[in-house]
Formats: sequence, structure tokens, C-alpha cells
Amino acid sequence: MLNYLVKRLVGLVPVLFGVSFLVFLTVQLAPGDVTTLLLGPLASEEAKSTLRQALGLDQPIVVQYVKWLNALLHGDFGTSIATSRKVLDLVLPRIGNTLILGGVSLVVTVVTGCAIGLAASANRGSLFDRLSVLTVLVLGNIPPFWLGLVLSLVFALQFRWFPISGMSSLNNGGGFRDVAWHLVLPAVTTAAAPAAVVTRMTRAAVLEVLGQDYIQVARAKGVPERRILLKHALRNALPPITTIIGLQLGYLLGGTLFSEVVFAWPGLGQLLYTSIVARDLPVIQAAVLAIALSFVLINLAADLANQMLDPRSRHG
Amino acid sequence: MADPPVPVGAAAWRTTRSALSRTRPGRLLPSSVRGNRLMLAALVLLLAVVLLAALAPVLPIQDPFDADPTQRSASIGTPGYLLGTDNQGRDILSRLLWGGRISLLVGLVPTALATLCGLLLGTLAGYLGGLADQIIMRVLDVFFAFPLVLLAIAIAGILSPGVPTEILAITIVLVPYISRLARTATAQVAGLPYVEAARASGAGAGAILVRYVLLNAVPPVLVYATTLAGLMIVVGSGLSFLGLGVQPPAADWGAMVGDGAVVLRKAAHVTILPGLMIVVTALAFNIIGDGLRDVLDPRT
Repeated sequence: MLNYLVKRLVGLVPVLFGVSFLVFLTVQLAPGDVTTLLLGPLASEEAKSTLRQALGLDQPIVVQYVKWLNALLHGDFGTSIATSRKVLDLVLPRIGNTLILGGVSLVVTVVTGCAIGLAASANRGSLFDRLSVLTVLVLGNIPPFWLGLVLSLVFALQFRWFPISGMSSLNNGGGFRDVAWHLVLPAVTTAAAPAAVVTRMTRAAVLEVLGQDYIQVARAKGVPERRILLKHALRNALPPITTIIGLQLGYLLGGTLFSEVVFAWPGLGQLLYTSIVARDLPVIQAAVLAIALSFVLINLAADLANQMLDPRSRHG
Repeated sequence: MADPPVPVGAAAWRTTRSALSRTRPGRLLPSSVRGNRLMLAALVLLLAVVLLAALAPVLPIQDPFDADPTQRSASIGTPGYLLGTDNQGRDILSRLLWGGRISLLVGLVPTALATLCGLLLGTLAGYLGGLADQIIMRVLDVFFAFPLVLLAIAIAGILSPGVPTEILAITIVLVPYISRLARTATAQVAGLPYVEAARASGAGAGAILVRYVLLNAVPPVLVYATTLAGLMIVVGSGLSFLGLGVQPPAADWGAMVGDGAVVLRKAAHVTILPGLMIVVTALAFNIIGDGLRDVLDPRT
């Protein structure tokens, strides 16, 4: 296990360098001149070239990259063009908010996906099973931003059960219950499509295990159906299910961006969106870096969890 | 003399082609009658959407940009406006058909481009192995470190917004996924005896790569690409929803959802209808992809 972890961590080093280089390159790819962006369209050529020298933009790309990376590693992500605030101060508080939304969405995904998938496979061919298959098909293809709007139309505008936007109410200033209240619709929006995929995989995996001989043996021995389902079938169906959950993490993180935009959830995705609209390149870079870094770490955790659940994957 | 080696890849492709060219649609999906009907329905529906979108310029519908200020957010069934109007008084039916042209383009073109690039990169990596394989796969690893949608948003957000940008962004994020699949499919056959035999019989590297190796990677990639096309319609509409894709007054389904959001309470149909088009079209691609997989790989 430790060997595996070390191997994976070493393998991450080149990936992280690649990620940082790619993010660095984005500024070079951006249309227009950075100095024009900073000084405005009316700036003189002279002022621009002075600034270019001051920023080191006249140096070779590799030198610029090394300098940029060095600054990053010292916690200097630059200054936001739009707000003149330190980029790190803008990004850091957002990370927690995105992790709350993403984490809760993940729990919703796993719990509903596994529960519905298990119930459907236990009652194969029933009305519930057929309905779940149909729902999975539709939900798996639903655009998260549209689902978010439809949910807010029904549950926030019509029934007024849930708030339409934000993370906490202004008058009572947050608190666990308040945040949980604001979290329901964005989390459901984010979780819908991944939960559909997990349901589908759970149903298929459990059905496959239920067809095995040892399940027949357990039934013949008089093991209660409930125990067969939870203990024998689900446990052995877990590896493919956890694998598909791991694969859904990227889609889930992407979905949080749309939920954050639709429900004004103050996370990294919303920050990325507003800084794209404002063409605030340093903030875009930092937000993309933060998301990629979280994604890499989450994937690592998912792989480790897989290793623990499936002893076979530890060897070979 | 012994029979010539059976080219698995070419053989698989031939089965595919014959399976696909059977005229009776009932034969297309051997697994179950129910699945069969589902795939047929998806094909018909998709064909209808494509045809209607393609024929938008000649159909007797309103101009998609013609705004009628007296008919803002008119409801479904308003005389002259079958599906109502949007918040600027533009005919929704017409905008849906015209928007479908962009949505389909943004879903299909990047998938096709990425499939070509991915097949090339993946088969090269899988066939050559060694250093070339290492370099290609390590570079792709960097792209896998980003969630697909976010990378597309970041790329599209940094370049100037527009349909070409949208297509480029989606193509870039897709290439790694297709390459990886093509590489796996290639690596599985590259070491098989029939490839060895072809080489021994004097076939050139290019001929081996194309005839025996590439053709083997095509069926699974084709299935994957079909399913991805549906997902890319969703992703592309997401980019447009954020304003990173097609620019007003033109709009695809995603941009229409975004336009409707401002009148969500007053006129929900302005938002709901284009979203339904996205769901239905993506769903159709998905069902067709599943059906294709059953045809191409009866084992699963």
C-alpha cells in the first residue's frame, strides 16, 4: 500500500509540472496584448514596452515560466486585474465552498446511485426497475445548468421550499442549517447526472454477481435474501462501482461550476466564470490551477480507496 | 500451404460493416426486441432533428432574428408563434431549428475531429510502444489532470468567444480520451501472431498499421465517439450557456436556455424548450451508441 502511494506520488510530479506549464501557456495564447489589458487601449507604445520589461515579458518563455512557477511556490499568484486584490485572497476562501458543494454532491451521488441501483437489481423487471432504467437514461443526458434552472423554477419560485441563490441568508448570517438549506438544490443539480451513471453501474454489477453460483448456494443454504443482497452481492459488486464513481468525479466537478453559476454559490467555478467574463487572466490561472490540483488529489484518493476495496488490484 | 493469417481487425470491421449494412432495421440490434425498438426510435428521432435543422432555411418558419416587441415571451400556441416567443419577441420554433444547426455542429464536428486525432495518436502510441508511447501518454496525462468540462471552459474562456473557439476547445479536451481507448485497442493486437505473420510476409509498416492495427481500433472508438457526441452536445450547450460559444443574436440551444433564464418565472417555456431539445438529442446519441456496441461486440 505504502509502495503504491509513493509510486503514485512520484508519478504525479511530471503531471503537476505539465499542468502548471499548460496553465502558464494560457496567458501566451490569450488574444490581445497583456500590457494593453493592464494599461488600457489608450496606453502609449513606450509605456507598454516599459511594462513589458518590468513584467519580464521580453524574456524567453522558459525563463518566464520558471520565474512564474517560483513565485507560485512562494505563494505569490499575482494581482487580480479586475479587482486589484491579491489573487490568493480571492481563490483560497472559494476552495472550501466548492469542496462543500462537491463533497455533498458526491455523497448524494453515491448514496442515491447505490440505493436505487441495488433496489432495482433486487426487483429486476419490476415497475420500479423499469422506471429507474428510464430515469437513469434521461438524467444521464441532462445539462446541469438547465436542470438547475428547472429545479429552481419548481422548488424555489413555485413552491418556495428552497432559496434560489447564495450560500447563506443575509439576515441570519449562515450557520449549519442555513448553509444546508441553500445547498439542497445545487447539490441535487450537480449530483443528478453522475448519480444516474452510478445507478446504472450498480444495477449491472449487482445483477452480474446475483447470477453467480455461490449466490445460488447461499440461497439453497437458506441465507436470508436481504443478507445475500447486502453481504454477498453488493460487497462483491463494489470494485466496478467504485471505479465508475472515480470516473464520475471529473464530471461532478464540472457540474459544480454550472450549479455555482446558476445558484450563485460562491465557489471556484463561479470565480472562474466571473474572471473569464472580466478577462482577469491571473485569477483564471489560479482558479484553473486550484481545480486541477484538487482533481488530481481527489483522483489519488479514489485510487487508494479502490485499492483497499479490491485486494486483487493490489497485485499485478 | 497453410491458410493466410486471419486479420482480426479487418475481419471485425467487415462484420461491423455487414451488420450495419443489413437493410432490415430489425436485424441491427440482435440483443433484445425492446432494445431494438428503442434504438430505432432514437435513430428516427435524431434523423428528424437533423433534417429539421438542416432544412431550417427553406421551411416556412419565421425569421429567427425577427423580434416582435408587442409579443414578448408569448406562451406556447400563440397565433403565428407555435411554440411562443422569447423575451425579445422572437419565434422560439424558428430559433430552435436554427439553433439546432449550431448545437449539432458543436457536438459533431469536435467529436469527429477528435476521433481522427485520437485514432492517429492512440494507434501510433500502441503500435510503436517504447519511447513514443511514453511521450504521447505522459503528455495526455497532463490533460487528464483537468476535469473535461472545466478544461473546455478555461480554453474557450481565454480565447475569443465564438463557434470556432467552442469547436477547438471541445476537440482539445476530447483527444486524450479517444487516444487512450485507441491505444488500448491497438496494444491488444499489436503483439498478436497475425501481425507478426503479416510483417514476416513482407508487409510494410504503414500497411500493417492501417490494415491490421488501425482497423481493429475503429469499432470500439466508433461506439465511444457516438456516445461522446451526445455528451458533447451537452458540453457545447454549456459553453454557449456561459456565453463562451456562439454570440448573439445567433443562439444554439444552450444560449437559448441562458437567454430564457431572465424570464424564468414569467415564461418558463423559453428556458424549458431548448433544454428539452438538448436532453432528447443527447439521449438519442447515447441510445444509438449503446445499440452500436451491442452490434459490434455481442459478447457484452
